[in-house]
Amino acid sequence: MNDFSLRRGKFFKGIYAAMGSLITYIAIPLFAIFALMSLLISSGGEDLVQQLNLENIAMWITILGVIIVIISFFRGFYPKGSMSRMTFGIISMAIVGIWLWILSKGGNISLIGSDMSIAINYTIIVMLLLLAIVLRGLYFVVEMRSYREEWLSNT
Amino acid sequence: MRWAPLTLRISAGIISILVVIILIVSIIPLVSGDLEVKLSENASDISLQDGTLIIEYPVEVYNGGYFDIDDVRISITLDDDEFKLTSSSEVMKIRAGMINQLNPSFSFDLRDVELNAIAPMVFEHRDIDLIVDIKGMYALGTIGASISYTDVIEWEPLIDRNNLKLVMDTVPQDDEELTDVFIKYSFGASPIIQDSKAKFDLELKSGNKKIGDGSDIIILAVGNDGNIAINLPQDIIDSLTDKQEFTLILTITVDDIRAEIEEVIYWEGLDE
Repeated sequence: MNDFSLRRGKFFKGIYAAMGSLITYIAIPLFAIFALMSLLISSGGEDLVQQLNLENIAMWITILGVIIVIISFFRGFYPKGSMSRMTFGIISMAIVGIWLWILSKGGNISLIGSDMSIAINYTIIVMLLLLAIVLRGLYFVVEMRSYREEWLSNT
Repeated sequence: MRWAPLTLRISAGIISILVVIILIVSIIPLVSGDLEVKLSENASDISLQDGTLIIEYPVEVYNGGYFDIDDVRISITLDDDEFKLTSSSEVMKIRAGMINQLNPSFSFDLRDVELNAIAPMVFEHRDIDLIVDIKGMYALGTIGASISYTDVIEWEPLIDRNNLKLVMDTVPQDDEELTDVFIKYSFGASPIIQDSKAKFDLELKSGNKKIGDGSDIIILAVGNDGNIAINLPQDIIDSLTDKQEFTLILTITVDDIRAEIEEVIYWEGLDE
């Protein structure tokens, strides 16, 4: 598996990609979730925090985020045109899709109060974002084909 | 320049940016209070037509957002221990950037309610659960929302049983033989049924045996009173000298709604 040889990658590019994923998939969403939790708790909405299951979401965001960061490292580590970059790129986008589905609660939120309940359905929005993720996954396939000859000539 | 990967990357970026723009433009007006709902000056109206209770609830909605709110439908459920009635409004649209005059109307066919269930609604003050469901689509149909809240409404009876007086009496007979008793009634009617035609059917029982009946038709006013004659068999007439109990079953029919109550008449006996 020549494509996956560790000698063919660049460490700093992997770190660069991993840092980008760390900010995008862990730091920003966790900051937003904890800000929302403290806002709700300070305004007496502990029940809403429970109903939205925010602590559980934060846990899954962290777990999946760490996996995405690790895979993103290898995606950035390997050069364009390699099968390894394509593979890690597709895997990372697949996990990003799961990450988005959990973060967005599948496009459905229900809040039930003592005399009021609210249900919001934004599945179409989530589907559009998943389409963008699919396109980004497809990008790695097209990118590999596009840069393949260049990569082969360099090896 | 490698156009294929670039095209995919730009497409993914455009979709993501589009979604972010939709979310920002959708949420900001809601957070900043640009959606206002208030009751119209000509407040809610309740009427009764052909056995159907019609509630009109005009509201003014200001939508200061950038998107219309589409497919708005309001459903109201009246939930009592005895019955459950649901009615939905027409589908409405709340246009962006303007005050929208909405006039949702809800119809409850009271003829669907069983006879023993409708009586408390006709004759008694009751607390009825009012469940309001509001559904709508926002942001070009990408976001759907459903809000449901429950309130308790104090239902005013159509005919207040507490003010309904039913008294049995005889009319002094000079030389003729006594053959009838009269049920004197008096009650106040709710504005909802005033000017409607009401039919009274009375059935008088001694024990479990029907001993006579009578009926009357009146046009309901604020206050109503009158007499209904009930022809009785001779053996009952003869027994009227004695103290005894009768059961009076009153059936009132207003606008195709039938309701029935039972009253016990304590007869003190005729003076000889």
